[in-house]
Amino acid sequence: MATIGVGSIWKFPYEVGANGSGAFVLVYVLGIVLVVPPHMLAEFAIGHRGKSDAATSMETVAGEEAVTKRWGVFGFLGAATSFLILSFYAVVGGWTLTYAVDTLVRGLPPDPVAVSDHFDSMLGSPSPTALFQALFLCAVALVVIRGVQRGIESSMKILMSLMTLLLVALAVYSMKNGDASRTMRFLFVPDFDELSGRGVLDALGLGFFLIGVGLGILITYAAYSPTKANLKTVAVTSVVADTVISLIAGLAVFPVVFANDLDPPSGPGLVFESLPIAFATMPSGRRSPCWRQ
Amino acid sequence: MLEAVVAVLDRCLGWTRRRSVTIAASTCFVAGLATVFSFND
Repeated sequence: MATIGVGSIWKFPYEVGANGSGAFVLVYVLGIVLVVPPHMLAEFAIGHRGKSDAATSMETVAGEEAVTKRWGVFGFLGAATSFLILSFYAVVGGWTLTYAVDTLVRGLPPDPVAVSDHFDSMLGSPSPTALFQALFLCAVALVVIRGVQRGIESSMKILMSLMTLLLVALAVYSMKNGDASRTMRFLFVPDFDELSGRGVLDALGLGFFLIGVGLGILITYAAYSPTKANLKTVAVTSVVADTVISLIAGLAVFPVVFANDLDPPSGPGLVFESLPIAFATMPSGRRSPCWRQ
Repeated sequence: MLEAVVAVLDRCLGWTRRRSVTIAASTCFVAGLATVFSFND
């Protein structure tokens, strides 16, 4: 469950929007079902056997198989990649916190143009963004400092349940009040004329990215798994859960996008420019003193 | 993602978990500033 998160909700919709059709979603699903699980299982097996961090586990398993321990370098590279990705994920987390605080203090913007202006104004204000990025990282650090079982696992149980409930409710609301038929065509009717070679690579890469393959994360968590854990079941569950959550995120975002004539390929801001509109149209969604630009 | 980094720091440098988390998260913040300022035209 630790693999589900910002990527599914933020990155999946904007990648689908940028690559424009059900063909991208189909390649993504095929990739995540056929290509990703073997890599997941390999990482799980290394972590399960090495019982340590990504680098040490790879060194240990390589040593046991009488091959060079320099394989451990790839564990370091995975952890370094995690570090780099987290550095910009924290910025996206900071954007989310900025929106939460803005909504509490000033309420939601009244129309799609104001939402878009708000996002642009946030991007152009580095100081508040950096402050909320720091707050987001502090929250993550407070969870991680408590350890995998007491910190990450126990908080995930609560947060993932809440996130799933909210996302499903939002998707149902968006489909009911937005442009559901165009969304279904956009997400689930493949048009291979719109899919470029680059789009195929992006779809496959997205599957790896959302599951966290190659980042040392799966090796690290597998080290904590019980000796008799069924790694195949864990891999299948992760793939199914991640795909379902990503698709639900698509169903929450695109009905609003199409109903308000927003631009699907608008990039990283897509979720931040569409979900506030959905929230604002909900009953009592704009209960606030005022909206100031 | 932070856990993967913290686990490597714990094991390879022998740091305490608290120290690893603090240093990894702080460095991550500094690295993320590049992303923050890249949006500031």
